[in-house]
Amino acid sequence: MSFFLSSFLKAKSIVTKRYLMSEHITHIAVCEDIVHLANVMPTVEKSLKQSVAHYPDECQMGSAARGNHIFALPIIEKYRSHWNTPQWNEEAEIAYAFSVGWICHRAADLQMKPIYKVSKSDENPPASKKANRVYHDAVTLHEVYGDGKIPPLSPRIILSTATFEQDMRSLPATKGIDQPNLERLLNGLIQRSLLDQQDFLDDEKDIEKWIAQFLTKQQRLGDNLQWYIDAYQHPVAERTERYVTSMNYYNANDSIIKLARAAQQGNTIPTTEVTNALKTASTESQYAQALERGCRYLEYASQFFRKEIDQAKAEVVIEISMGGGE
Amino acid sequence: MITTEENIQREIHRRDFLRFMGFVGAGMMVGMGQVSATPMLNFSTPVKAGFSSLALMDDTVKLALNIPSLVQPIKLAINPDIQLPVAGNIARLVGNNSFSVSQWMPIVNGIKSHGLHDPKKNSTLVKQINPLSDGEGALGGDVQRLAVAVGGLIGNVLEKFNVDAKDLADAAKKDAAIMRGISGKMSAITDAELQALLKGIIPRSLTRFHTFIPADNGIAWTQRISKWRIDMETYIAAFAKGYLEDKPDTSFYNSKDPFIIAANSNSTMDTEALLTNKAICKYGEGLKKGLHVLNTLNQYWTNKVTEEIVIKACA
Repeated sequence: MSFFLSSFLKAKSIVTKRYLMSEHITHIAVCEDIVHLANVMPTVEKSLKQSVAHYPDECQMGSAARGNHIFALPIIEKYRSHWNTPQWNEEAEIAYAFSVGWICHRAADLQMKPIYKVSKSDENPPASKKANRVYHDAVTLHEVYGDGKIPPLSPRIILSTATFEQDMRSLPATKGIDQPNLERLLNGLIQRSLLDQQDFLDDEKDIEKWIAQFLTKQQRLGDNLQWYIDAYQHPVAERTERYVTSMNYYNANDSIIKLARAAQQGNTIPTTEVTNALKTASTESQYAQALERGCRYLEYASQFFRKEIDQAKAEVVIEISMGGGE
Repeated sequence: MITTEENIQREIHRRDFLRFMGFVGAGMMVGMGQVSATPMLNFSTPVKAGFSSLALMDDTVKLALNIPSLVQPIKLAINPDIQLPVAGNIARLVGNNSFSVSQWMPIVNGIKSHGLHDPKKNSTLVKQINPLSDGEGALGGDVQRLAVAVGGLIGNVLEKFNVDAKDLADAAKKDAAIMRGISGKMSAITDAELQALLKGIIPRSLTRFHTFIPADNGIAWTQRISKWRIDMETYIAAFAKGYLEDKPDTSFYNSKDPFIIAANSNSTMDTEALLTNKAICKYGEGLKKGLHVLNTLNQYWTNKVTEEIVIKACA
């Protein structure tokens, strides 16, 4: 396949693969746990760690974005010669933080995506064919973020039990403002302002092409939040068993998860323990395996940063060339 | 294609330049007597406006749904239920844009002449608007194209009645005044509580999106999103401050305006009778104008008026 055709197909897949796994809470959680572990791994480059330390929000937003297969490695390539020079700046660190987030996104995607086929194969899936990941997000909010009591890596991300609650009624402010109408309008503001970041909005002068781009690049409110609220507030035992327990989605006793939790709470975690835990993660929960996969990807990304492997090799070991993910 | 660092900066500056030139260009077009959209909003930040234009659009749609014999295609295209991942979510987002009425009308006419269908999915319209749908049937199709066209037409019309805001913080303050009007009298809350609510809504939106869709230039996009996140914090802080002020500014949004009252009412009011009212605030004037345009467009759809009348209504 020619380089141009390959690039075209990758670019096209940003907007056409709309229904892959991509639950928001799980993505940002997997990302921050990988970052906690990678921080004590000497095999992961300081440029990556420092960028995330300075721009944690950008990293977690990167983990919530499509396009990892297109942008993550080129970003590393673009700025790697700037490291330890006066050219290394805020722009480079923001881009690197996003790149780390994108790589973590890929790790979660490739780990979880195969198991999401379970609900798609259900003859009568509850609420939606996306029941797997809806239930996973509900579990992640509880397990990783303590229902919002444990703040995310990014101080800009605010989670609580109200994240998946009807009209966020438990928040005091809902007594003083019409929450449903506020959310309706703020949703629109968020959607519209994200559209404003798109190149086509000003650049495309052909109205038919503009409409086509608008329809593919607008941030659709594709998921009904009620699915998440139901899964979080009133989980159905049968679905929890099917989508969480039986597939061993998350196990707080997994050694790698225990280390991630310890680091999340500000404790120092020994490098040797992380190394050992990564070795056994393949027999543990899906979430633990996603963490192992992400740490491994960051090690390969570091090798790419040091020019020990070229982009083609990096795309193989980070499992970009095999497709999948988004 | 990956650009150099210089190209990224150039790209960011170019976008700002294009917006500036759009402003100048639009002015020149008006001066030349041509039909032209109003300029894009121009805060030099990633968040370019508050939600006032969305509020105007949503309320216009509420009123328009009462238009007698509203044709099904327009009804679907302006569907306001944000729980539905279909048309109404699209129409409201188009807003102010750089295309003129004479560019939007051929899109409308194409769909008007051959009717609605969904060539990609071959799905029925009923399936597309099924509230229980998970959105799989929502891609492609004329309903969405019509939603963009109607949203584009009405977006430019309503922009003339949008709030004048000098910067993002000012826009947030004016949005807050709208929310005071919508909320009415409620319990006292603190600034911190209100900010926590707004910040808490963001992950809910992102959850519903699944994922961000990056721009074609993904590297430049990372810088824009970084600034966008900071902008959202600026907006939220200013919104909270504005909402909790003792005397919110009611010059733009006055809850006593007959069009605002009608939009907030569950009862239906005769469209022609409503249009005889006089608005008492700019927001109300926008609703009156928007309703007039959609009413005219509906009459055009059933061949009661000509295309020229629609274009005139949009002026």
